[in-house]
Amino acid sequence: MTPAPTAAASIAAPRLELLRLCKAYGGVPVIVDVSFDVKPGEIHGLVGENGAGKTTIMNMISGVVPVDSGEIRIDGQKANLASPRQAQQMGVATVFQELSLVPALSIAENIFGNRAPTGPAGVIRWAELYHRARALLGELGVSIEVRQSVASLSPGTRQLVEIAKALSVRARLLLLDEPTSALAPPEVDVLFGLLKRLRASGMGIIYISHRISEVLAVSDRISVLRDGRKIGTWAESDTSLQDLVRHMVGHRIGEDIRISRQVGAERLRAVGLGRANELADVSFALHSGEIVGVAGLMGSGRSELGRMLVGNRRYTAGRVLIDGRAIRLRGVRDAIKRGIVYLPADRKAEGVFLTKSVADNIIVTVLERVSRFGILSRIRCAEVARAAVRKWRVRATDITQPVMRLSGGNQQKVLLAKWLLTNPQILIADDPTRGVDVGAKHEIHAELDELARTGTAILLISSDLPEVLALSDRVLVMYAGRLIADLARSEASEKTVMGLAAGLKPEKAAAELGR
Amino acid sequence: MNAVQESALQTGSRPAIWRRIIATREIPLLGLIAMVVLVMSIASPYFFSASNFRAMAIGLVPTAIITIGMTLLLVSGAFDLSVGSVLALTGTVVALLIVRGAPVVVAVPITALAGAGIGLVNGVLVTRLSVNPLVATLGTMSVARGLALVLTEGYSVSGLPPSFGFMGVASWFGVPIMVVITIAMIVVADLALRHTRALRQLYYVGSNETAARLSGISVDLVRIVAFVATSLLATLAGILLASRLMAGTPTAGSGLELQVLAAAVIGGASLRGGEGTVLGGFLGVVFVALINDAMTMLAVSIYWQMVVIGVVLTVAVALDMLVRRRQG
Repeated sequence: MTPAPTAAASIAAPRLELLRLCKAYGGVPVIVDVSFDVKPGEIHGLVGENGAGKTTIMNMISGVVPVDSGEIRIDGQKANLASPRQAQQMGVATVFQELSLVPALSIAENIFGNRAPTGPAGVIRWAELYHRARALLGELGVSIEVRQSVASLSPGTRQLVEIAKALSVRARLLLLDEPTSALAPPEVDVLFGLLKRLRASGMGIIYISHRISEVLAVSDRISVLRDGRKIGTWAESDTSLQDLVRHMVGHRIGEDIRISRQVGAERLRAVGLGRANELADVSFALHSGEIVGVAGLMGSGRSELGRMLVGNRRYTAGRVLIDGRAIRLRGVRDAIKRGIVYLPADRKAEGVFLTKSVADNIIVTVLERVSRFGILSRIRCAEVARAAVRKWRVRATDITQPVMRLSGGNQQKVLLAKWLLTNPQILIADDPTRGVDVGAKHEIHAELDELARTGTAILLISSDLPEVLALSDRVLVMYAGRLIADLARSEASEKTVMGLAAGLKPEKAAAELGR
Repeated sequence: MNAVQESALQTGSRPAIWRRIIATREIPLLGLIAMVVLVMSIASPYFFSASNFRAMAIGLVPTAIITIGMTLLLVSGAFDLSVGSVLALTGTVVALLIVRGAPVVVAVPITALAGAGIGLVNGVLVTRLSVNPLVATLGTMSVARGLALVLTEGYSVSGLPPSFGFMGVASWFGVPIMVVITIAMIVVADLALRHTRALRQLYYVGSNETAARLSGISVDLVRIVAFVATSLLATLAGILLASRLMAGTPTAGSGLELQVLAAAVIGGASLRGGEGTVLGGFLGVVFVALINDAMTMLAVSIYWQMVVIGVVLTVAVALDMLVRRRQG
């Protein structure tokens, strides 16, 4: 760590310089021409919506994914970051969103990993290990017993250990991705204190977070990303929360495809749904012919809500009414019988059977219908699958093609087809267009709109805010397991919803962000 | 391979048919079996004879019956190491009951209940309590073997009446009844796994457990049924073996679990779940039995036979992984 350079910093080369970085995945550009720099002794905030490209940038700097074109310079020198190891040797320390600590091992072992000092025959020199861990934590201004196991630590302390681990290789640049997502407010203060001390020592820090007020509180400058492009970089003193949100959202022309839908009778009502640490006191109603959007960040409880409504996850408080009658669903099977289905968010992990054929994937929900006396009819299976493939325009060479050979958009259409075959009255769609191409996204949107117009009640849980606003009649906003707003379409703008989802108080959001 | 794919075969294009045939495990395995038979017929004058085939067929009956269950479990993404011990325990239990005076028609159902009970314990441990199948069935494997030894104090139970031995020795036009029953069971189980709604669910569970649960399949129930079925099949194998040997042997079937797993995997089942057929598993059993028989004919020591079977299993799985990776 270099001595505090205050005046020197302005003359010295930037700690990190990104020059016209580009990156595409499978032909889809995710980072386009992004340039910015981080000076020694600077905390640089990086904000943007889901999918704006923040994590990709971080992965490129830390050597996890290669750069397509453009250049990364560290201390004025072109850096070849072909692997995380090379990035570490260049002085890049990274704290990823998922904590990488081993709970059963001590703090000291976690910090030094397999670089623990060893004596003859590879025996670990414990005294020296503990001494070095204590010295490192001391330098960071943290005093905790380094021999205790990580399992016994609070999330906040774990985060500090994680940072110590990242800094244990002589680091000049520290990258943090959502470091406060698991922390309580006092722990956030401790973390910020540490970051400011590191800044004073001349380190360059990139701070990525959804919590814009925190980014403003800790950063010197802030860059905004939108759709893989950099919108701008501003000094903390020259910008504000409402400006940043406006830059993040941009002025997209929201294509509003809602065509005077008829909202009918109440289909589903949740009353005070809750479960410890997941969901608290969630109440709302869903009517036939209506699309109700649910906005909220990852971990806000939006997916848990969807699963509880369909009987896949238990709730410990409140009740669910279907068509006015209180019903406790016994599981997904029961839910299907009552006409309520859940389209899960994580397509590969929870949705499709990757190695199985398109037909097998489609008929799974209607096995009864395609069999007689318990024997599957090959002809009926093929008929049902072919009809579904045609109707939902799934592009597959044949219904026997394994689903893993289809594109993301077509996999998603297979999923949708399989659920719509059960003729649901209530559809809970969790991120139905996550990771699909624009064309398929359009088709899925049109399908959802069509379903609503034929009387299906749809709960559209989505991390894609423009999608929620384009399709929904009403918008529910969730934050930290609570439903904090139930907005009519006319009250919901990207700015208000984004502010609410990021944890701004409703009255504050209304006052600060206006409309 | 499955109902839908076959129906597409009939209407599909020709190259697709060729690719499917090569992609199935059964055809290459049949070729391999034919090759071993051909080579052995030349190498040993005693190999290609009715008496040798008859002996081999009788010998592979227990393995073949148990492999049916193991295939179902592998398809559902689990496996059962307790099958060899269950075979020994149920063989000794049925023998003890009969020797102490219970009629066969009473002794067999009681034994079946005991066998099903072990399967239920395995199933509940793996699903409801989320115990890893390896640990759960390793535990019941030890318990069942231990109980068999406790009940018999380590000795074989003999003195069974000839009426009990009927199943083990009777023939039908020169073919042992045991073999006829086994083949009938394999045909029925193979068709059931391909065409019945109940058993097709195993593929979904093994392919993606979460997706299956979210698709309305009772994942736990499906797996428990597969465990109970496997244990029941091991029980049947145990009773038939006792009937053939006219004795309940507490040390019978040790190491059988590995033979069965090897056969099922050679036959195309995957330890990662979602793949496999009963017919493939049976061909795997035949292949392993042929290799064993060939080694006996060529006077390879029984100890070396274990080494060879181990090598065959490892090579088969490694090849399988290579092929899958290339198909990617």
